[in-house]
Amino acid sequence: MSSEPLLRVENLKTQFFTEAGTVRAVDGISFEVREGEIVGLVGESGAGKSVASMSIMGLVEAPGEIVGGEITYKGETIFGLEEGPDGELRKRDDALSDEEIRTRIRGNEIAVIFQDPMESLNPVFTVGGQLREFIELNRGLEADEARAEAIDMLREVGIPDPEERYEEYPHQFSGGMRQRVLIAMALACEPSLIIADEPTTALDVTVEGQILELVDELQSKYGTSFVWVTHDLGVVAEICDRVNVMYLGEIVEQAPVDELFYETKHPYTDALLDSIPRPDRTVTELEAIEGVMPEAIEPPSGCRFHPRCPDAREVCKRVHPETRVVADADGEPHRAACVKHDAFDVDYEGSPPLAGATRETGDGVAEGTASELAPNPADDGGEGRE
Amino acid sequence: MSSGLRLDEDREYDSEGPLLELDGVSKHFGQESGLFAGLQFDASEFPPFSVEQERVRAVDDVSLEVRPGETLGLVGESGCGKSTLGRTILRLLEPTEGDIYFKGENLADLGGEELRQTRSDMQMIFQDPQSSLDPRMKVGQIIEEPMRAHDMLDDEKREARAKELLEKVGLDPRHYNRYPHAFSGGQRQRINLARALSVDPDFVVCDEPVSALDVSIQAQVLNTMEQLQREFGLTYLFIAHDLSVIRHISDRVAVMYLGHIIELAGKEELFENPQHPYTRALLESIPVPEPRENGSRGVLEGEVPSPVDPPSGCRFRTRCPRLIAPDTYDWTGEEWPRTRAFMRAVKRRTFEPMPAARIEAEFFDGTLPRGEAGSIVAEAIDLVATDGEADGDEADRWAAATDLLLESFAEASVCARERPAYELESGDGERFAACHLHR
Repeated sequence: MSSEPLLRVENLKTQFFTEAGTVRAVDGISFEVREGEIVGLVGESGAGKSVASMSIMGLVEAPGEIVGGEITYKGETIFGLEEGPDGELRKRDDALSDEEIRTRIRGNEIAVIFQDPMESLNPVFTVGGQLREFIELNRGLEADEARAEAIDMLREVGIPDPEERYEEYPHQFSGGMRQRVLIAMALACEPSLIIADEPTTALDVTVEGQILELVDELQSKYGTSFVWVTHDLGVVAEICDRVNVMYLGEIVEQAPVDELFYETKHPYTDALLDSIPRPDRTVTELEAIEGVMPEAIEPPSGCRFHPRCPDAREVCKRVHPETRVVADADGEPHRAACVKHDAFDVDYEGSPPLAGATRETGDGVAEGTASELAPNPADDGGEGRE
Repeated sequence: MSSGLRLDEDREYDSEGPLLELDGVSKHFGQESGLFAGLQFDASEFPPFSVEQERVRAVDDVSLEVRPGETLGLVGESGCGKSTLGRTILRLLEPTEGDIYFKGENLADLGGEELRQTRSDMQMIFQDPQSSLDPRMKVGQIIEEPMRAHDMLDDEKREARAKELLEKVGLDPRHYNRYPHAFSGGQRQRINLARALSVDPDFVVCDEPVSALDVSIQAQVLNTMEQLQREFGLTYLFIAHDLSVIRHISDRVAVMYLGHIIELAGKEELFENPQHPYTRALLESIPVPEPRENGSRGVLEGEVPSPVDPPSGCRFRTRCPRLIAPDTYDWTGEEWPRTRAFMRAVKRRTFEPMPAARIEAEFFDGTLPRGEAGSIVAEAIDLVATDGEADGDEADRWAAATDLLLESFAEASVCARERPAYELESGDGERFAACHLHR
């Protein structure tokens, strides 16, 4: 466990500079991915999980910008900033250039699978052609070798009749089959890390099952590591080894999957687990989390979850908790950003509870009352974004 | 029950019978609607042109009942016809065949004005809370519009009712004069709820009402919907693809596959003791938020066939892990499961061409089934094996092998010959399963 992780993200900050103000989409997150591991990045819409994963690939576009932090991959800095002579931020000298990232890292070392496979495939070229081109470019193979390789990959990811389907266009494939093509494309160069951004969210549950099964198989065969971005705690439980829970741009809890579910340390994770209807048992009353996630333009003071937290106390409004180790999970650190743990010495016990911070389900009343006729109630409801 | 909210309590439907009854309802769509759509050219016939419409059988011969006050969950994968069924019930789509009875009256017999009147008792909530609200209308107007359309109350009372409803669905009545864009997704879905309830309906079709919402918001909206059901005495037809949501909100659950209802049972019965292999597969493939539960993930093979040309008999038979052995042959032990697996592997071409001996070893553990079944299998292996004697194009040989196996085995099974429909006894009343395993 002491060996250098495959990917290390430290204090990553990505911001979007909009007319309405600076959106701190990702605000100082740190995590690592080790070899052969599936690491989950979980959260609701607007939590910043997709922006975080795109930042790793250097795919953040204007008005967004990575404004801080360091990303190390296999010991090489793929992103790092330092302060220039005039105090402005500039790229560190030891960081890889854009050119190097494009030719050496992206595709060959780190690949991405997106949520919507239709948007990642070009509708006017055949599926096989696109896959072949990708293999040709990234692995320097001849056209017919690449073609054979492409057909092998299609069979590998469970596409029936691959020779025939090689000649077909993306619209002739179903959603699940398209996602398989993208997995084939991601695996074609045998990368060490695949970033999967909600890859099964748009799929039907039986197809999702097929894809998860396929990922399991391929992972044990190739030993590929994954960063798995999702909002679905069921998927997390099923495939992840370790999990990072994000809320409003920050990681609020970080633990091995078992500890996250059974030794939950952050009230947000707890609330999230209580609010989901279960497929495996009947829940009569859902414990909804009150209110909605605030905008990242003007996050709440102190702990960002305190306005919705059932355990919130006076101190939570003032103290902004960074993620600290709060428990030991069989040698793995279990980190959480909540001052109710002893690791934060801020007299949580002595602080008076905030009004309304009880585990009562207000049945949505909170949405109505909390906004208090603010000029624009959408400010407290960002769930349509992402 | 707050007095002012129910507009037509005197018209309450007290009958013992179901609130809504579907009898053999089908909805088919013509595939194309252009001038020359469906025009076929075949030079070998005279006249060489024929007009033939391919028909998508979105909903095919569905019969079910919705009881007053219950929530009937309707679940299925995309393309199974659940939304079409919901719209057909409200007669937003004309059924191709079959009858729909609402409160004992056949909706097909109702003329325009009568149907319009009945619609005030039946409302619908759509999936996308964004596009189902007119961005140029204020929230108040949106909620009042159905009342205006049905000529209920006067202006003043309509406004009072709209404000009351806003409060009931968990919004601030002072938001009456705002536009929809100022609300979040969860709040917009609440506006949709208020609008649906404004005419005091008895029956609401909810088409994926929470699918577009985040989990924490989903829970809030589901809780509100349950509360409103109690308060307004509503009956819900709740359409969703998410089995967890269905399990939470439904009293009874109907499972759809390719236009058919394949199982219908009380919620607990259905989830704890599914009687149809498709329901079982569906339940097994949901990822459970329980990392210690490392149970087998039931993975369903293949894809849903096209509704233009659905399989005969049981529509699930082409993927069914328990396809019944054709009784024209004599099977022992593992012979049939192995033959079934081989047949599907050939059909989907999931293995690379290899010598006959290896195919036999891989699929049949070296021993082919005995008797006639065995010789058919041997013939099929010969067609696809790299050292086979059959000649011809590789693709043709695979197709020939597929046809041979399907015709000899799959088409001979009772699953292909008869459409299953069985009423079963269960702990809490009758249940329905469309599977020949219950013969």
